[in-house]
Amino acid sequence: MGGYLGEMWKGRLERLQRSSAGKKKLIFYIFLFAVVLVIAGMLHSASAKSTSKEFTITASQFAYDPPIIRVNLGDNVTIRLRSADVSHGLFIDGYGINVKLIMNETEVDAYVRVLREKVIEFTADKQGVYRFRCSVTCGYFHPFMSGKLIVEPNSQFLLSSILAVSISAVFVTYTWKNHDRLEEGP
Amino acid sequence: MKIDLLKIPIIKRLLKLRSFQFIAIYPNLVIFILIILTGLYGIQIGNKNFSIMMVWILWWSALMMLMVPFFSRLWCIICPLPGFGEWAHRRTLTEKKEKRFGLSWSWPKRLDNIWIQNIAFLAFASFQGILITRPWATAYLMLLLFALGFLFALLFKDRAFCRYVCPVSGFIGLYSNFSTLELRIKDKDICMEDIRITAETKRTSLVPRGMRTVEKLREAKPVSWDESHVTCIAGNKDGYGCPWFEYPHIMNRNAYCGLCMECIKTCPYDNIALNIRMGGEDLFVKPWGRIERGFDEAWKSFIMVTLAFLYGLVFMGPYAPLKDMANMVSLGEWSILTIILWASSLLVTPAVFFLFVALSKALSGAKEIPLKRLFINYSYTLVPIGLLAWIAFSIAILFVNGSYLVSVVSDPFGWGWNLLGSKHYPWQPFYSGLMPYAQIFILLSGLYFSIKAAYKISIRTFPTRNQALKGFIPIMAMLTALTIILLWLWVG
Repeated sequence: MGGYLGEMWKGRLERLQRSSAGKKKLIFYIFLFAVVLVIAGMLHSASAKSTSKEFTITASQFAYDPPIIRVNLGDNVTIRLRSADVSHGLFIDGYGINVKLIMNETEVDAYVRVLREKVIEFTADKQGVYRFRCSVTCGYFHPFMSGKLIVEPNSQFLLSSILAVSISAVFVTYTWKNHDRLEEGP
Repeated sequence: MKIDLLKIPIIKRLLKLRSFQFIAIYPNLVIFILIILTGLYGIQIGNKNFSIMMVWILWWSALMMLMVPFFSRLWCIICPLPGFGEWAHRRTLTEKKEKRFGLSWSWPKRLDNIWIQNIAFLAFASFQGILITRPWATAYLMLLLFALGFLFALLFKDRAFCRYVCPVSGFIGLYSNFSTLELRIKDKDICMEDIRITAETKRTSLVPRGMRTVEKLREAKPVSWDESHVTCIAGNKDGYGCPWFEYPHIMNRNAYCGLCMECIKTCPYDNIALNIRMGGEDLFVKPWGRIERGFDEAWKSFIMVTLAFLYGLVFMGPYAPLKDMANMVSLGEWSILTIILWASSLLVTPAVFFLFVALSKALSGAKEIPLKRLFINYSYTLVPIGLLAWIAFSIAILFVNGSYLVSVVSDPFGWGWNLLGSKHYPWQPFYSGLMPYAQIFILLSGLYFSIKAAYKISIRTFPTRNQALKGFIPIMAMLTALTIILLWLWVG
């Protein structure tokens, strides 16, 4: 049965490839396939159950620990921001959240430093990858101090990768289709 | 379709002024002096210092996002680094003088490539973590480049520093091939006739056009500088010969045209055009006679695309160990990153690229095409995706840190000034939520342009269409994989 279906689709594909109108249909099917995949991905994400997730992020010069946090779309997220050294901040791209953890410079007791924290609560209602960054000047590498918030499913990467493959596939199909009409060789 | 900007009278008048270059450079020179002073004497916190913000946020972003893709070597018109040297060498700020100051050595033929620029760029990239975060380092870098520009102008002819040494010029030249602006001659027959007559008469003065008939000539072989005395090369009372050592009459790429506009001043036939065009054409032109395309530009494309990835990973990624390496926390850690940087740019990326080129040759069945020729030709497919990858990186730099510029212009030294009232402008990323989508769009555009370049290069390289199509497929696969890797970097 599988062999019969395979032969049927193979024959159908060969007929499409041969005819000019068929080639246009082929290009259309490739795009349709890409769009269906994207919609399927988005529908899947919409149906995911939301939960509560809590993270403790420790900021130090010039990184966050953990550097990457993953949540699902719709999750209620709590972030406890702490500092291991100087004053730091946390700005989350796309969510506009900005908190600052200002350390009292006279606090030399490490135990007191560790206990100070800021709590951030939000709902991860946008899927994709969002950087979180330091919003308090904390030293030389401050502008490059960042982490990643990944809200699954990461449709940004999925969609863009599918589009990249689709662009290549369509280009090959187009050049193959217009083989005889393309410009002269070397 | 091309639009000649020199048909606009005010533009033509401006570019023909002898003082044009000085007018273009001078304001930038003032800014660079301020960059050096603030770097040396200002607050040593990067985001509060004029030097870091102007060079690594504003200039770099403007260069990659605007100047190179749309205006070719526009930066080279206004760059002040060779200014002092050129003025000393020419013994004037604006006039045309015959006598030059300095040794005026000819550049060695063996170094007539961009290998020095490749190595110089990698050398600076090795210290990028310090350069972009320490104002004093940026200031000393500028001083070094000013000194080198001056020194080379006194030792060699004209813009030898710009053409062969400046680390920025190397990649600007390569990526300018993709630009929407070009400077070209209008009618090649006029140039060829002029060369023929001046060679025959051995006269340095030009034969007036009305005294002879312009004949249609066959494709002429390039003649040496000494034989032709064509004024775009030799100069005349109106201007200098091309200081970038280009031959305007056969120049068919943007790579080494510094847009100095001397040829517009010297051409007596009004045969120079400054065209707006679609862009990208220079990637497909045949090599012209004087210089065969060699490995130097190929390696420049490998270096740039590799660094676009590594810079994104180190500076914009969340990985603390990489930032410590770039920040030179210890010599050992920095050495590891430096080795990774050099090895990946010079060895790993070219090796992977070679595998795909070998597959391309094997699939095409074209045994007569040398692998070296395929390797060099296909390396230009990395120009669009490389440039667009740098634009994606620059967007992250500018959108995130651009608001610091507003405050530093009021307090460039960080001494508590408030010159324009914007010192307390808060840090705020611009359009941070849209940034990933902008980067996706840019990278996918880069993929499209690169695939298109790959196909055009294929049909120009292989003898038959069938071979061209088969040879194109592995390169297309490589470009697609590269794009997905870059997408992972930003949205993965």
